[in-house]
Amino acid sequence: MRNGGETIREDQVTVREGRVTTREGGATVREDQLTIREGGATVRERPGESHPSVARSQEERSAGWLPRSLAASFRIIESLPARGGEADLYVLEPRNAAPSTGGESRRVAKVYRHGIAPKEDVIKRVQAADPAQVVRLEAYGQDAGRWWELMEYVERGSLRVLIEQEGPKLPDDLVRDILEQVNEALAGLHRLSLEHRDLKPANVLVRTRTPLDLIVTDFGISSLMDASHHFTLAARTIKYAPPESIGTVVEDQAARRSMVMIEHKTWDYWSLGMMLVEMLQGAHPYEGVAEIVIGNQLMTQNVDQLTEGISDPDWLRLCRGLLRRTPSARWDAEAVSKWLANPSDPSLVVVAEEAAAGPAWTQAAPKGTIAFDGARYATPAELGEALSKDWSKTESFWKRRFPDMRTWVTDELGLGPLGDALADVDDSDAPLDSQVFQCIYVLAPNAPVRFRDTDLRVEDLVALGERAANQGDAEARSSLLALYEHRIVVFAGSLPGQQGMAEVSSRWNEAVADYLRNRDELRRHGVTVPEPEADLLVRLLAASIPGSPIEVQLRAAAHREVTGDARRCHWLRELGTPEHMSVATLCMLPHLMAPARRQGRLARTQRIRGCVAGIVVGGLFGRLVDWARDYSPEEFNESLAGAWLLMLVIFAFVLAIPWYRGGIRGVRNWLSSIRASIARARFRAGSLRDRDNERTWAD
Amino acid sequence: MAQAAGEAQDNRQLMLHVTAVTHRGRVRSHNEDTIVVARWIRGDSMKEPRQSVHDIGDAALVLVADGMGGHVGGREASRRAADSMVRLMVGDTDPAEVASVLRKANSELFAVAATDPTLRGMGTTVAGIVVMSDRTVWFNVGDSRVYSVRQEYLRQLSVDDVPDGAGPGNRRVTQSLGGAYLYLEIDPHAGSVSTRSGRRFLLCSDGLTDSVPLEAIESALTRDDLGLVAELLEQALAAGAPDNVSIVLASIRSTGGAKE
Repeated sequence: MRNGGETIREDQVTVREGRVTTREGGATVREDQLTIREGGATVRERPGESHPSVARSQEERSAGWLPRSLAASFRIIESLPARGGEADLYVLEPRNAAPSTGGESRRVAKVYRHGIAPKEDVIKRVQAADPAQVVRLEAYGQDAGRWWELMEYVERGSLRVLIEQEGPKLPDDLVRDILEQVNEALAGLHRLSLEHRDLKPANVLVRTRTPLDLIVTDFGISSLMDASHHFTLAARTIKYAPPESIGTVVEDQAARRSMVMIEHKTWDYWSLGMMLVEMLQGAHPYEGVAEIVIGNQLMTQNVDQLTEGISDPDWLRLCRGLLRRTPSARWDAEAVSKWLANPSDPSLVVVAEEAAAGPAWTQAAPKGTIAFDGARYATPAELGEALSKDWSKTESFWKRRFPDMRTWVTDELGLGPLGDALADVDDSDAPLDSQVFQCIYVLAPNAPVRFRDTDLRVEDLVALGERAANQGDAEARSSLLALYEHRIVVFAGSLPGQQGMAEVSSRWNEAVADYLRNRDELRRHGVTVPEPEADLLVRLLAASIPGSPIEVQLRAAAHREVTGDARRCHWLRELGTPEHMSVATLCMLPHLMAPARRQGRLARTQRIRGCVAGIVVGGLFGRLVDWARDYSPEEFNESLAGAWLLMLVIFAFVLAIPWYRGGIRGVRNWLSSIRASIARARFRAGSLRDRDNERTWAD
Repeated sequence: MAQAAGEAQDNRQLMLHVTAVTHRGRVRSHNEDTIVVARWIRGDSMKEPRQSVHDIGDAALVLVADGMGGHVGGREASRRAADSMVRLMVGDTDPAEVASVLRKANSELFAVAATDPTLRGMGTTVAGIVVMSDRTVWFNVGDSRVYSVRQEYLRQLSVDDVPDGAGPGNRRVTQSLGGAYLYLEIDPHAGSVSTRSGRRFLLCSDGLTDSVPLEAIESALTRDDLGLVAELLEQALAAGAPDNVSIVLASIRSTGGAKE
């Protein structure tokens, strides 16, 4: 760890509120509950006393790994879901915290993975930032090769939670309040030459709701040292990332390394614009859209389409000012402040969208054309649409002309990231038709969705499912299977305007998952159902399509089948009544009926046995009382006889249970187990000591 | 990061299964092609394909070189280029580094030719792959090819250095290692794809692609490695094989994968 340019041993770290200080000569500084002392005489372990971090409970160890310097003073009470793989996040509590202190004494530890180092310069800047606007970074250090940061714990969660609780569409006043606070935080960060680069609702924390107090957190991207991570991380939050995040990553890694020091702090304002659009519209413009498609749209789409759902002219002006493709034309903190003061401020100008100017990523205008099927195409969208019309020619084009297409897209059109996206599709293990499908819609996300020369709308799926499930149409069956196995429906559902397909995809996947869950549950009852292959997948899809008649037919069949003995089967009852059975259950029902009927018959037999046992035991009880009274009326003691008879009845019931469950064989087994238990008990008590028995019982 | 570590762990279990053959063909009296499989260099004509298995924990180099420049020069060029590549290609690499190695091999070839008048003008094409645990770098100079073998078709990764409009049987290349009387700088083609179990790469000299149509090669892709290479050689020979034929099939499989 470095402090003031001097390298110090990490085991001499003392963590104090707000900064990291060093301790020389073993003198320690204790400051409330935040003093962490490692090394030096004051923390030498006494013989026989384990180090607190070593003495952690098994539960804690399984909860996560905490650096020694933190483990001495804190314990993990919760592991937070961490985005990406660069770090683990834990909620910590001081080891000596009083129960009444609640969340105030808690902290969050961010423990980076091996090989990932935060940029100390950035961390120091974050520490220097106004704690009213930015999460308090209380300490940081390195331990066992892993970097860590200790931050304040914000109990109320993030703006994402607030949107979920009070949205999805937030009232204008609240959005204005959020805008004001986030803008101030960004301005503060930018004054420190810090750019966040991963601004999104999940990274804005709510300190208090009333009054609203927001702070910005998670500088993971801007503080990571290795430039190669930027691409990965930026790609993961592409929904809030500006167009330049797509276009410059590959070409200008050197500039990217110094990104936190750059002059134009406009990246975060695009992200802020996307957040505003989401809160004002009640949905993110790229909700449910695949990342690969978002990347393409960021490069080629008219960005004004992003704000089409905003009707208020003032808000529209602000959002358009923030969502400018050209970074230098994008509104910044000053413009936002002006807008907040006066939304009609005449000095605020929204620059018109520039399609063909600026760096490569803005150049959607074609520089060359590519030939396909006797015609030439000037844009990826035109080519994609043409490809969607003739599957076999497109297959051939993909097989033979892929290198030409990639060169055209990358070199002639200057759309390097789109070329990379196509290369990723080519490099994937996806089958040929899946690659062809993805190629078409990476090029033209808005083209009509077709697969193997067939329109792929929800109603087409309904017809295909009907043909496959009811008419045994082999081609329809093969198409449906390809749609599932090659994840065509999933990809189609992620295309713009394909919410219906997304619903089918989601329901189909849920049905398959439900089927697998049921299968595992039924195994516990000794019932085997087939794996969800071929016909079953087709049936599951057909039944999952909203409006499909297959589900109605399956439910009607269930009503007919689940009768008589089958209704007595307990595990079938657990799967629901025919009215409420899931699609997965309906599809597996034909395989369940025979075992369910067997189980039902068994249940019926057991019930009869139970009745017989009750009658017999009841009768015997009465007869025994009568017999005792008749045998010796003068000595008959009602209480004693009652006690004896009660014991007999209990014994009879105990005997009746194995009979009820397994008939005579059940009784025999039960008696054998009683005998074995007695022998085992005697052995343990020492009454049996011979070697044979010892070996037997020891085994 | 953890996932990446996990993948790296899995990849350490990957092995490279290579089936290779080089043949003088039906017309030539000698073989000017050279094949390299890891550190094994073979220039003599083979009667049948040879199979080997290699650990890809260390980068594994596989290439074909098609010599040009007459009996002595062609054979010498492909052998020397292969030798340079094996010597210079050490450990993990990337496309830029491979291109640099190819340039060095080109310089070395010109240097040798300059000292021996009988070898002046000798040259060779070269096409190959370097298989590493996470990625495979492909490269080529000239018209020997590297294909990625897909389920139903071949995806050509290499870029043919041939004149515009040249078709099968073309005897000219626009660049090669050596192949000129004065030193010429080269601009190698190189790229990378991910290394995954199940991936196959077909490397060949133009002796195969000039004799056997691509569709015929693709129709044999369903065969196992040995069967595929043997059939392609047989088809090339059946078509007259006017040139030397070199075929190398490199398959990446996890350790527990099916054996030939």
